[in-house]
Amino acid sequence: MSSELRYTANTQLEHLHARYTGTGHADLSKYDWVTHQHRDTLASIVGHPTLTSFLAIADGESKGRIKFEMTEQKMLQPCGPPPRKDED
Amino acid sequence: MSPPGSPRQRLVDSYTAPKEILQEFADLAEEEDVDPFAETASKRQIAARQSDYHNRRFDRVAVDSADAFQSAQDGKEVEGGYKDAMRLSRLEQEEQRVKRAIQEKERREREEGKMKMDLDKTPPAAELDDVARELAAAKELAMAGKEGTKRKRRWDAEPTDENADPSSTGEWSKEALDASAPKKRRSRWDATPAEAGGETPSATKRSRWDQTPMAANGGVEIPMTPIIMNAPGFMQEDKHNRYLTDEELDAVLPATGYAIVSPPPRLCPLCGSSKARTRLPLQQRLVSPPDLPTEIPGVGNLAFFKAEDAQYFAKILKEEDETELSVDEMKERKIMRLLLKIKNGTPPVRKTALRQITDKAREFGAAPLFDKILPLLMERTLEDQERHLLVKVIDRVLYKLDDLVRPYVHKILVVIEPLLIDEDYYARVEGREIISNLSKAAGLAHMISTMRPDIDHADEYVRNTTARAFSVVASALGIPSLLPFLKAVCGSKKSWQARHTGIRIVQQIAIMMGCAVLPHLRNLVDCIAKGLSDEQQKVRTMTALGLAALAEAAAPYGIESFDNVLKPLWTGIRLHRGKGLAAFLKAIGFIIPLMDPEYASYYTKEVTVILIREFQTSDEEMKKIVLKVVKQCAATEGVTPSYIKHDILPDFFKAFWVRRMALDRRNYRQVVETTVELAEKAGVAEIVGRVVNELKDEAEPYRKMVMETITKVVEKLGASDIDERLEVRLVDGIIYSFQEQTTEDQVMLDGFGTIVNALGIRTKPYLTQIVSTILWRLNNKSAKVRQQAADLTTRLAIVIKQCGEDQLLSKLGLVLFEQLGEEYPDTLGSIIAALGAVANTVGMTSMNPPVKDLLPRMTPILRNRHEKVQEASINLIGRIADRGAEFVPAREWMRICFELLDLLKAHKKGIRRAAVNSFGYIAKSLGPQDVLSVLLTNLRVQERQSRVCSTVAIAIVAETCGPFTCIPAILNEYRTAELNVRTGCLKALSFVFEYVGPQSAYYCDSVVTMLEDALTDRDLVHRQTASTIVKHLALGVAGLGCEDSMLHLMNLVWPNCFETSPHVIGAVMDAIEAMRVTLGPGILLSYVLQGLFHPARKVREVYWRIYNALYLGAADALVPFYPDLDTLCRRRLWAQRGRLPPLFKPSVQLYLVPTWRKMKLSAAFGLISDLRAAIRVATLPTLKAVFKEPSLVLRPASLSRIFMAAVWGAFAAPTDEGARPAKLKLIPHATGAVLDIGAGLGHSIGYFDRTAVTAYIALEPNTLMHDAIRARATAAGFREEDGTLLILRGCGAEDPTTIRAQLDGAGLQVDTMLSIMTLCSIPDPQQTLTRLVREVLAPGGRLLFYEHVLSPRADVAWWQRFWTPLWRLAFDGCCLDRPTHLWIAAMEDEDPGGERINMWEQCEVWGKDGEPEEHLFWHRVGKFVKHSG
Repeated sequence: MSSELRYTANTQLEHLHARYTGTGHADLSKYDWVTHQHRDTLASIVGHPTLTSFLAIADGESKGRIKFEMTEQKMLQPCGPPPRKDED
Repeated sequence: MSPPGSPRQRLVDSYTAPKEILQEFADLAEEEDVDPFAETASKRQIAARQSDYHNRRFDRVAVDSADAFQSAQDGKEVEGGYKDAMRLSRLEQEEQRVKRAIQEKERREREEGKMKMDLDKTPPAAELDDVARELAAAKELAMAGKEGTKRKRRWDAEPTDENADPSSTGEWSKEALDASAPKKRRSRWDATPAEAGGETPSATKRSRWDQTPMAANGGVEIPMTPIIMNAPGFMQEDKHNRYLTDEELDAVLPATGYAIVSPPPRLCPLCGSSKARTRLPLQQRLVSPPDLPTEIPGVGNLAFFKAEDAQYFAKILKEEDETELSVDEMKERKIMRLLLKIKNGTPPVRKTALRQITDKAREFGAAPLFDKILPLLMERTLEDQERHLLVKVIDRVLYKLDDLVRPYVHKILVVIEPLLIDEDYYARVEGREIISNLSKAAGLAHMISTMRPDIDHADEYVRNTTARAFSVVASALGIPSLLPFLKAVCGSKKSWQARHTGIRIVQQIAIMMGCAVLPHLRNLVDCIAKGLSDEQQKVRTMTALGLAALAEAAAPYGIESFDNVLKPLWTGIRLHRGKGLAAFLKAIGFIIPLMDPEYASYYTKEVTVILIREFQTSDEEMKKIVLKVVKQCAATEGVTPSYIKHDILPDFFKAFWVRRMALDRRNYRQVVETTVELAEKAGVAEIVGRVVNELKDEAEPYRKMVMETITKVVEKLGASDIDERLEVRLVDGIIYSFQEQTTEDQVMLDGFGTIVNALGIRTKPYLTQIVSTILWRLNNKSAKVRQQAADLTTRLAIVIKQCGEDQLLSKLGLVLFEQLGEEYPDTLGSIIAALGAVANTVGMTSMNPPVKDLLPRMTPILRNRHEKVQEASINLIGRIADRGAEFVPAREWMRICFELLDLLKAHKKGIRRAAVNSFGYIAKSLGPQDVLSVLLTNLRVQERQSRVCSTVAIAIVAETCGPFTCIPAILNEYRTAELNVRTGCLKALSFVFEYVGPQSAYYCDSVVTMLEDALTDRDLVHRQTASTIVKHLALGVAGLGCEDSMLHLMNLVWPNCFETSPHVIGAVMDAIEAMRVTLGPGILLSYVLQGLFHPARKVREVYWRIYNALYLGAADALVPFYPDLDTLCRRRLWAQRGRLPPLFKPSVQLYLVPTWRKMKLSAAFGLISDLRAAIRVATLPTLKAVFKEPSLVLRPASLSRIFMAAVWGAFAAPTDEGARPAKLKLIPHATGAVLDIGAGLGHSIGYFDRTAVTAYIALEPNTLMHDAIRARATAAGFREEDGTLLILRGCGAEDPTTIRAQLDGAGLQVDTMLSIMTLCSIPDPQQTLTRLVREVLAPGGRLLFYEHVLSPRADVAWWQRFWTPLWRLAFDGCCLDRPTHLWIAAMEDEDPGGERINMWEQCEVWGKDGEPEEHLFWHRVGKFVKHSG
């Protein structure tokens, strides 16, 4: 409620922001945040051909394989399964 | 004073009013008690404003709709379910049927009676009486018929106090009584007006139910103020409406044919109590009209309180002892208070009450809430605002109650459905919202079962609203879910009403959902297709309308879905007449545009015959539809121009281009639109040629219609089609109609301008005539005519110039210049605008009158306060300043500058903008100094608007004359101690930087000090404006190398991110956003990271907001800057344990992968068993040693060493066994002289490739093991005697100097260094190893190692660190948590030039095969080759 009052003029923008994946809020758990970061990183690697080639050369794999690994294998739960609720 | 009536002597200045007016006032004065606002009040009331049809909502019946799901759970029948509802609706239909039959019978009897009367010449008196009675009865029946649609409400099946109160809303409460009376048949008869009761002396034919005991709205004749009449609880003591006593009833009713039924037991108390209650307040009210409180106990102050409210809120109006009330009663009071607050309270009161009622909705329960809300909504005196608020309450409450609303669905629908046909758009939207929420809460099945009975309701109103409600349900829950039901309803065999409603639902769905029907189009069309051949006319019409709506919604797709209905539609138009035909034509009109060209042409030809026949129709509705269809047909591709020319146009013009059509506004528009559409096909010449003669018609509206049509046609298609003869007629026509117009209208003016502009140079022959018309009209007596002439000049100026008639223009200019003394501001504005247009087309140099004469004439006109004049003159002046400033002396311009300052106060934005721009032009021609000083001085004035405009003007001056001319002056002015001036300066600077963009790079360092001051000022506005400056500055200098000063500003802006005032925080956030662009997201991220997981929520909220903006602005660019999370996590962990975080080199930090998995405890505690085994095997030897030499106790290091030797003795073999595969891959790489660091018992020797290894050098500080080493080495053929074996003595690995000395002594050079499980336990490993490698290992030599190291998994690493202190104690300093392999990889050396280089030429590290990740001993095997120079 307090934040609502504080940013009355800007709430619309905030709502708009909140609709995108990867944005956060005050109650975001660290796990979620890190997951987003990992996904961003993977997407960035796939999205920049130079980075993909770099990794491909470093790992001695084909670029296709690197892209596949980034998108298909690591993208899902890049930081492992979410922590159990009670532990946090 | 002279006597009235002698006008000659009357004084000139004395005024008097006509007699009639004086009389009127006198009359008014007599009726003092007339409420002048009564009329407006009734306008506010929805019911008073709406049509009879809308008000039929008051006749609706609402039933309890049982929760079918609920009853299934309970296993018992719930009253008021679907079955009941259907039974009731059947009852009602039956009732209607019976009523109609009775009416019919009465009519027949009456006719027979008449015949009898006619036959009999002298009817006996008794018969005459009979006839009179019959007539009276007939009259009454007619009344009843009129009121026949009046229906009763059964809201109050469970009567609550005020609802049951007969004194309250007449019919409602009466119904409660009726409902409780057994065997009572509900009938329309109740609705008989009260007057009739008195007029029928002996009502032999009427039942006692005819007597309306009370009628709230009719028959009350007592003279009283309207408010009191409306007051609740009033109306009983009227003689017509009072209750009949038993005696009276006996007298009235016939003795036979009736049985008097004893009243049921539960009727008595209700009747008694309600009577008792009503009588008393009635008396009170009669004597004194109720004083309307605005202060209610427990509610507080209200914005207003209406008389009608008293009846609903009676219970809370008086003080009560709360302790005596039951829980339910308390709840009821609470709800009433909240509702009253919401309905009548001031906005803040309302807001809190609304929140409370929402929060507690479930607590209150559906029943008490809706019992209170719904009656309020059915109040006749309800006003828009109240309705809106109550609907809002329902909406909120619905959301909370969810499926608890089921029993109330019908009641809510009855109240909300009328909103769907309200004239007010917002009311309709609100209604839709509620019904959609309702259907989501109650579910489709329940909605259908609730509304099903209303589908074939006898009343058209009910069916209409129900259909609309259903369409809302369809849009809320999806069309597919409702389709089966729709199919069933549209195909209903039982009643045509059901089919009619079903088709209407489809129509409404199409209207409401638009193109969203496309996926289901075929299904929907198939649903209603059969309706086209229905036997009922209304159903056929509705089907056609439904198809029209579907086609309109689907346009331009989906023709294939209409395949089935094309044939019936086209055959239908030949079969039908009147309304049915109109609907069919409408459907065809909407379907034709969807078709392929050839089909469209074919079908158009089919329908044209009928259309042309219907051109003659006198029905207005039909006319409109025909016009629309013609328009749609003409627009389709397949219809050829020749077809339109030959087959449609002649009849069309004959039927529609008549004077009569111009009189009705809607017809007028339709005809014009259709004609324009036809012109697209038929061509300009065809249409214009047909109508051009009508421009000289005598009827002005008709001329206007012609003009508008020609204008639109020419506007769309140009005038190139028009041949010479037509051109002459056309120009002649427009000049005629322009001159002949009597009403000032934009149409003629626009038309003239458009046509002449379209003709362009072809106008030349007529220009003299036109201009002389204008000149003549410019001197006309009427101001309006002059104004129009000036406006026409504005429009024609360009054409005149095109035709090369410059002397005409200058003539016009001169005449207009002479007219500048005009006194009517509207006209003056037009004249100035015309002058401006002339000046624009001619150019400033050749302008006549010359600019130097024109401008001084304009200066005084600038003082004119009229907006139109202001705008026109400022535009003219701005234009002159822009194009021809040099013709006017500087002094004149300064004078104008001062006048312009006044214009900055103008209301109209256009004027202010023009004024501000003019400053720029003037500054450009004069040089900025003077203008700037005028503007800066203007910053001191009080008016905010003037100041703001000055700042904008300063910025514009800066833009036109270069920022260097203004910024120093602004900075200087900023030092003034006045707040307004300083704010103004900041604002001006912000605009300056906004306008100059990248040029700001030159000035950003010079403004930094000022911004420092502003950003640290106490005043919020200062900081806000400064933030805005920073924003513009940062955006301007992005990429221009001003990062240092920007970073400084960023540091000053950043602390403001916690501001709460919306404007300030907005500006600060913008500035931070702009900084992202300039400084890059990485730097911003480092600021943001500080607070993302701050313990204080307020901090986190702000930081996340910034993070989100940052993330959305530059998500990809952020990736390289993401922080090393493990350090963050670990810091927190260590901080919790109160220990400092260990320092690692960056390489280690990167190495650790954060994980959210937790290591299994069994694995984490796995080393306990190792420890126990070690203690078991080593304790006895150690104790023996202590026994031998007690002084050992005082030397723990030695003791540990003894212990370790014992442990190693027992463990070495199994460890060696486990490591064999890894060692086999590693140790054979050893060549030359091998230095075995930490040789242990010499197990490595067994793995050597004896052909490659020339010498074995063992480094083992624990001398107790040397014998074992020697034994093994000798076995492998290494001997100390021939120099192939060297066991280093008296030193550890940390002492390379000694080692070097011993090696040199033996003449050996180390080619391979071998470390098997050693580096874990040597002290200070990094330095030791580096020195060893650097000093002992030969260049190009190899380092081979097999070590257990720190796990890359953060959780395992945590356990390794956990155990290390204990472990190293037991195992002679062995640490589990060393990232040895990383250290080795990172080793550095100095090259001959003294620069640091990496130690290794080659490096290779691999793992131990099959080793689990989750293991405290995580091994790495490595082979490194030292650089060779």
